[in-house]
Amino acid sequence: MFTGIDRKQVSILTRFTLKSEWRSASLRSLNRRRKLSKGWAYWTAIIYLLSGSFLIRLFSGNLGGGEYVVAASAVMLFISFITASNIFLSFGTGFLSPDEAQIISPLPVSSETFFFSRLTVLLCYTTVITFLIAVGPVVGLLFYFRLGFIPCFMLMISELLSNIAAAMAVIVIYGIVLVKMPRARLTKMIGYVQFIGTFATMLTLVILPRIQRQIDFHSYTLDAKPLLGLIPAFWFGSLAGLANGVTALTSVVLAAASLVFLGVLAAVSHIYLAKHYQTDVSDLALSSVTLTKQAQPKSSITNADGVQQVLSSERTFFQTFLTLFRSYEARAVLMLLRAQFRFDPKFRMSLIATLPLTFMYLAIALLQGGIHDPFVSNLRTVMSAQFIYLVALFMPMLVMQSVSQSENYKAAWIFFAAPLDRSRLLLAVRNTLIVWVIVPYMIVLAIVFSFFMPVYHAVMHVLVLAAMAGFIFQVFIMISPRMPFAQRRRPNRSNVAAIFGMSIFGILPFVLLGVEIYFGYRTPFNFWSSFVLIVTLSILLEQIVRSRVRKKLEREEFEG
Amino acid sequence: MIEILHLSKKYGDTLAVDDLSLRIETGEIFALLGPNGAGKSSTVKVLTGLSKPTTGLVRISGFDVEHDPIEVKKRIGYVPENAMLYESLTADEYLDLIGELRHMERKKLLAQRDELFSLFDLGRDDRKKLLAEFSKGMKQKVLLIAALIHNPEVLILDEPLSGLDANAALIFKEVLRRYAHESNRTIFFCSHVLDVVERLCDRIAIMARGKLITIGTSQELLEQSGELSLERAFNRLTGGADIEQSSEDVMRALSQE
Repeated sequence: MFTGIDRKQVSILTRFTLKSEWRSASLRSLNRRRKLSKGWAYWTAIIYLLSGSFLIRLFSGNLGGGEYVVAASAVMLFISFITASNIFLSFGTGFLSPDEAQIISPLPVSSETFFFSRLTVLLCYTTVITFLIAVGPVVGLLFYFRLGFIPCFMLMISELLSNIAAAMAVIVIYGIVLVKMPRARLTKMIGYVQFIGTFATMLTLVILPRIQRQIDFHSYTLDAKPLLGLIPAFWFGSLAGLANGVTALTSVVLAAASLVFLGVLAAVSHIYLAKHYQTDVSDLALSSVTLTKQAQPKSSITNADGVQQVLSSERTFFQTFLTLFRSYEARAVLMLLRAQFRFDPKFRMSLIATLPLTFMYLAIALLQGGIHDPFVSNLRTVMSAQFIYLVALFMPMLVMQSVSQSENYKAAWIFFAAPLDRSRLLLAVRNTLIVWVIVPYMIVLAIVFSFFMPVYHAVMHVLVLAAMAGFIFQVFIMISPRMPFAQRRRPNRSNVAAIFGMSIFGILPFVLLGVEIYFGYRTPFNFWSSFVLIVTLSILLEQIVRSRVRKKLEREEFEG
Repeated sequence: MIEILHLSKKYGDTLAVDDLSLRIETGEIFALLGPNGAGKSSTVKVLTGLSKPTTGLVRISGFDVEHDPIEVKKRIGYVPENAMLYESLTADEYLDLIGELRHMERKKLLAQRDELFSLFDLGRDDRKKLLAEFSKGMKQKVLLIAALIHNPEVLILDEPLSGLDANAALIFKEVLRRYAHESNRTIFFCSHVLDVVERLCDRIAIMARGKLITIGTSQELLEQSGELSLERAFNRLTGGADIEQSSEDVMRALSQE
């Protein structure tokens, strides 16, 4: 009865997992609110619907022939990237969930059954995303461009198949990593894979809207560039094209290739992954325990019984360094941040990510004409490097967000039980981030800018960016003070939604930066007076921040 | 019945279990003790199919855990050391999930579930709450119910009394005793609460650094160590620190300003 795949168990597991995931994504500080919030789901759905609706522009003037295939393929590429990145990133509750494997492993559920239940959950998720993103272009094609029901329906089906292929490809990649990689290196490796996934998402969001503006679809048809046929998105694009009358031999072959590709992915996942999936995933949790065990303090010795003992009297460089800080909170925060940076790959990645992110946006800015000296160029030209400024202004907020969440949020009980002023702890975190993350980042930014403008202009420009970023950071902490590593990480919240959210709420500071560059950079007097004004505002805000943070954190309850 | 033959388990270069052999009979309550990092949890994880043995053989009710894992899992009930549960399900939903995955007949599942809920004093309101809202002890009760609900041949319990209130612990210990001796089931018990182990278990094995140090009844262990309590016998057999000297050292350290 239990051999191979048990359909009844697949159905039960899928049903309960979907229910559980939906609720766990809605669990918001049960201690405080004692209820589930579904707002995040509507917000994410709206974001997906909106981002999908913009894709209709790809079809403008490209409703037939090879151009239609190119437009459809671009849509496939966009949706697949969104899905694949989300699956890459939601490691905790997604396909590789060691905690869930530990619950299910002692039950009489075969590895294949568990694997296929996870696969079904993933396909449900993929179908919902596909529908949300694809509904805009399909409705547009149907009612605005009057393309006809069958081509529109087939476009939707092709998008779904393309998305399923993307999801399966991620599973196969994860699976191969799971099978081939030694356990001790696996968690770290997955961290890197997710890191790359984050960039893939961001890159797609940045690059795809430009395709429509910058690419002449006629020169990117399969006839003009046959090598494009190697990209899987074009296979599914050809499948959509068949229903719209694009029946050239190449299209037929590529459309067939799309179905073969899906079959191969399904076979590979079944043959190579399903059998050992359960123990492999469950081992992930055990291997991470072993990794923790192996991380020994540097100042330790091994005694005669082979037991590691810490030499309490021997001071490490870090311990000596800590004595430079007079405040207990500052020392505690430094130790905590250092330990999290060393042993929590997600936290480490979230901090490190800001650097390549800057370089990626720098590359985009260079492609769009380079970075321009804001003291001599017009505002429109300067703002072509808008994404770099966006990262610079919001980087402190993003970092603070990473610091407030942790998978080990229950360990934060100590902050609530210890006789300390919680506001001092949070402000110590803020100060530590300013000194150790934001200032070095701004220095790097100044060095980068100095390649495009005189050094003193670069320095002054970065001073303004830093002052504005500091002001935004102060406002953020005032509005939303959070104890460090004390909130449950909510991996189901869409990263895409977070990026869009940041972009939308970022409009105001962005406009202010524009105003500052337009008026403040005109004369030295304007520059220094506006700079002093921003700094003064930040300093004046400090007292308000302190008092509000103290009040809010006094009411804060332990989430664990 | 549980048979463990020359079991070894390695994580990377760390040897967690080193050539362990044990035989636990039907109707027996067996305790596996050891200091932290002795290899108890690794042994339990192999028994329950959470991880594979590096070498050696483990049989439960005659089935090999590596080659017939499903047959083994049908026959065991397991309470893990850490309360791993789907926290976004209610207690009722969680037990429905467990029962359905075990292919239990619906009527029997509901009857068993209700009976066990009432045994552990979990009311109707509690059962409708999400497990995320449960206290540690209440979660532990749900785990115990989930382990017992299908009336398993072998119960594997890793710190099962952790977080339980005194009444629930008392009832559970009595249930275990009768479950093993009257229903003729095998119980494999890991705990650090030595007085419970002493009173409840028929035989005790002690592990240290992955190896089996000794095995016998509590009386045999006391005789072997020449001590009067199991706690002190455990301390002596596992090479723990001198109790009087250590407590003296700690008190001296605490009195220093």
